[in-house]
Amino acid sequence: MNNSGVLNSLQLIKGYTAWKTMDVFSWRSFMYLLVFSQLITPLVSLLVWQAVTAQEQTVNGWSSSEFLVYYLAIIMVRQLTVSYEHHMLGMNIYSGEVTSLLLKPHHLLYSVIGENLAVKIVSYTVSIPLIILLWIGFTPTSLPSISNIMLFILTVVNASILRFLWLYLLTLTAFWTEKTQSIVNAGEVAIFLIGGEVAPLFLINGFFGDAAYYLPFYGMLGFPAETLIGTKGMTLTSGLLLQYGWIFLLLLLCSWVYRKGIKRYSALGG
Amino acid sequence: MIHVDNVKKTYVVPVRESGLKGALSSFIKREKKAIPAVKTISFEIPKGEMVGFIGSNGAGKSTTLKMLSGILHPSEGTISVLGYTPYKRQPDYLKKIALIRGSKPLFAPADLTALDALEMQRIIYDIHYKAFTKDLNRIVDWLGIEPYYKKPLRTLSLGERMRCGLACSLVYNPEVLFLDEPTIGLDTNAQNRIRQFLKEYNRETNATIMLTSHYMEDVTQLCERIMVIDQGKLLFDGNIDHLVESLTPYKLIIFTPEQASTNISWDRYGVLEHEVNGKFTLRVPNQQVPAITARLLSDHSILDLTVENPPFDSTIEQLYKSEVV
Repeated sequence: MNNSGVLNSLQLIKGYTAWKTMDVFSWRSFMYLLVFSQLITPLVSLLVWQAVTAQEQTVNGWSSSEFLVYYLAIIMVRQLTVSYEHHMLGMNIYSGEVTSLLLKPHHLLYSVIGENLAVKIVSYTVSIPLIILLWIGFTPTSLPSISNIMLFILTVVNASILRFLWLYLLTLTAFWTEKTQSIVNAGEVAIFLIGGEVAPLFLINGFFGDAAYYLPFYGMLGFPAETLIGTKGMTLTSGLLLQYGWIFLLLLLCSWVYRKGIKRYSALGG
Repeated sequence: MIHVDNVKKTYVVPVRESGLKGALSSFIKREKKAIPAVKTISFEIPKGEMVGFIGSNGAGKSTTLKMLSGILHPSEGTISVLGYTPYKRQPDYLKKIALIRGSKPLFAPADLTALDALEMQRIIYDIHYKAFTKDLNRIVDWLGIEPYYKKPLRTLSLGERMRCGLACSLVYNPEVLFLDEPTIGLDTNAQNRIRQFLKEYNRETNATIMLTSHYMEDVTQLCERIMVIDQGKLLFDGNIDHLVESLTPYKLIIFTPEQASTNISWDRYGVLEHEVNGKFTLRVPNQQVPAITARLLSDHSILDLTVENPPFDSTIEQLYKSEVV
């Protein structure tokens, strides 16, 4: 892609983001409900681990203070990497509206990325103040260092791309089935169970725990959260390699599934 | 311009027997059936022509338009539009065509305005701001959408949305328009405005237009050439007048005598179709129309008299019955 191609791509993403933001703002109350619903499970996990580590108990070297920062970080990662492709792209595929998008002289992905960024912009208007309130409310005794915060930002950006690609991939199944919502729910459960939300991954022993480090879910949630207090399950370099490796793999997979999906749509019609 | 050569489109759809047994056997082994939507059609449309493409529901009109615009992949045969193969959906091709569906004229969130949608089109089609403003003003003026193009789309009527949809599709000056039922659900006034606009657009830009419609008036007012499709086959492709002449070799003489008398046997002039409020309609063979008209006027005192072609709908009905012209 030459310079003007890059410029056009950025213009398109900017245009779609602005356009979709105007749209998402019109149903912001639904978005805000989703923000609150995303808060529940990590808060429950936080309270459970706070109870386990009460009275200065430690679990694998982590005290109540580390668990507190870790779960506040999990809440932040979940909120900042929010993705609802199944609500938007999925519906467009079911209703046949995607036909109008396929007639546009660009890849479908531009509109999907614009939607994703629009959802983030609108949900951040409530999730960021909420995160600040939680940090003030829980007042952790040990605060993360500046370098950890910088690393956290980098890994959250990677996690955003990973989660977007993962949900986009699952949403593309809408070309074959109307049960995409269930498939996406299963994908979200995988992130919850082996992404580091039920428990930090280093606490899960045996083959299951070891294997979970090589799946994309740790890179979407647990790894960025750990960077805020110093990684424990995996070294920083390995974690970053895991994120970039899965981004690359998911890009290939998405591209392949998209081509197959469009071929099927072209065979059956909108 | 548009070349369609031996194109077929077959959909493969799952089928099953009714009842629990059918549901269970379909769960174990899903049966599929090939449904031919378009059965070998070929035609060519030169640049600047307006062609009416008509047929009953499920005849294959929309499938053909979707293949021409690149949404559907033909099962067999080749299609070339402006030198492009539509199903490849190259950006250069998509910038030169527009598919406008009367059922979904606008693809934009309902809370935004038509102006927001138009601005998005400017970005998508990479139109220079100066050229865009000029074209926008021209189109807004043509379509008369100024009173409501800054209102949320959800507040617009179907006719207003259709006009805004046309504006969005034409603001990038497509060379080929595929219109799928552009006047569906609109009142007569709105239908006329859309037809008038399409005529003007075709005259000003020399764009090629192919339109499907259930309203014969759309076709008769806009197109000289007509293609009739039925059960996936082209029944007729040619001039509308030729179709009418070959299928309905008669005209209707509609007249009001000064004193309508039940004793007069109108049947000696032609076939009496009907009489409503003193107005009579006679069916007369084409070649006898001048003589019969003269006889009527000399034999009776006639208040008014017109000679008309039979309704186009009946011609099409005749075509479906005869199947091949």
